[in-house]
Amino acid sequence: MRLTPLQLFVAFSRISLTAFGQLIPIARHALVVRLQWFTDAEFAEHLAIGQMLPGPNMVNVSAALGDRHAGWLGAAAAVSGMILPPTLVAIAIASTLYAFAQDPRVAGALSGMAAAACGLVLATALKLARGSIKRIVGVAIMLAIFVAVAILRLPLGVVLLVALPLTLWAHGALRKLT
Amino acid sequence: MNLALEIAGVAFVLSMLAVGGAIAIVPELFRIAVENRAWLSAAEFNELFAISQAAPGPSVMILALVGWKVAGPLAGAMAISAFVVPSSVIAVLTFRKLKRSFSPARAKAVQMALGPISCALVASSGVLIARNLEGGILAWGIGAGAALVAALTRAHPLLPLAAGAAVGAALL
Repeated sequence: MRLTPLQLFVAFSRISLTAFGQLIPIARHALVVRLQWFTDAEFAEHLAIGQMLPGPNMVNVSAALGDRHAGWLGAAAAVSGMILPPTLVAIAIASTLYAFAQDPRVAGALSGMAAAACGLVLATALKLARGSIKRIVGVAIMLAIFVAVAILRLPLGVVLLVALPLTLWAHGALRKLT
Repeated sequence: MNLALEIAGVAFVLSMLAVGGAIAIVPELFRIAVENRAWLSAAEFNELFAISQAAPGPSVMILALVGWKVAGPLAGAMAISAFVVPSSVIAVLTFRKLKRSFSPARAKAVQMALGPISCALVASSGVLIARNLEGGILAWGIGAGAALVAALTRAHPLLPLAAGAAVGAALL
């Protein structure tokens, strides 16, 4: 079965518009269970490569899937579905809120929302730590990057130049694996 | 227009650095947009971050919002395009070449290796946002409440965001 660019755009728009915070599980459910465009193993493999490549993970996966079905046009349709609708929603929310920014209640609401968003992100970090850091060397690398970025405020490029090869090596991702 | 191009340039560089999740670029975007170039105040950055968390989709909307706030809608469109188009082209070309050379074992090892990077950068995002929260002890309370709800329950993320906005509107 070959998907058309329109099918790809609609499917990825639906995924992106229904995902709040947890994009990967929602995309996995849509692509593996509901649409069956990927097997579970294919999805995991694409996601791992998508994570290693520059750019947003799931957008990379959507580009690859779109290309597989309909070439560059398919990739463009899938990526547009991932990005365009949520961007319009984000700009619409921001325009509405800033239109009333003189109102002290709106200013207060934005501050309150920022505080909540901060809490959400810290909870996400905790979940990531629990789910994906299994070894003591992972904890050490995590702490070193945290200190470099959050406290020393080093440029991300410099940090990654050191951290990326180090963590790939320390987790055995550079060895020959079967 | 120059400013829009400059923002798009930053978005492109950030995209090339975004390994292990797009939210990981938030600390670097903060460093460039607030600390180095002073495009935005820390409070404005926090507001845009909050709105991006309330929006659906991949966690890259902060780029569109920063572009939009600093230099208008066109700059927003340019920033998000610069963030996703070149990286998507790289993804397509890489996946075409790779085909099936990535075994499940290596996929797992790569994911385990990237875990600490994503985690550290997401935690850094939270700490940078926390440092510049407006509203003192009440804001910290809202943040702690949202963190607890998100960590301990399966509540939809819009719920703590809406609650934070409501408390902020009433009390901040």
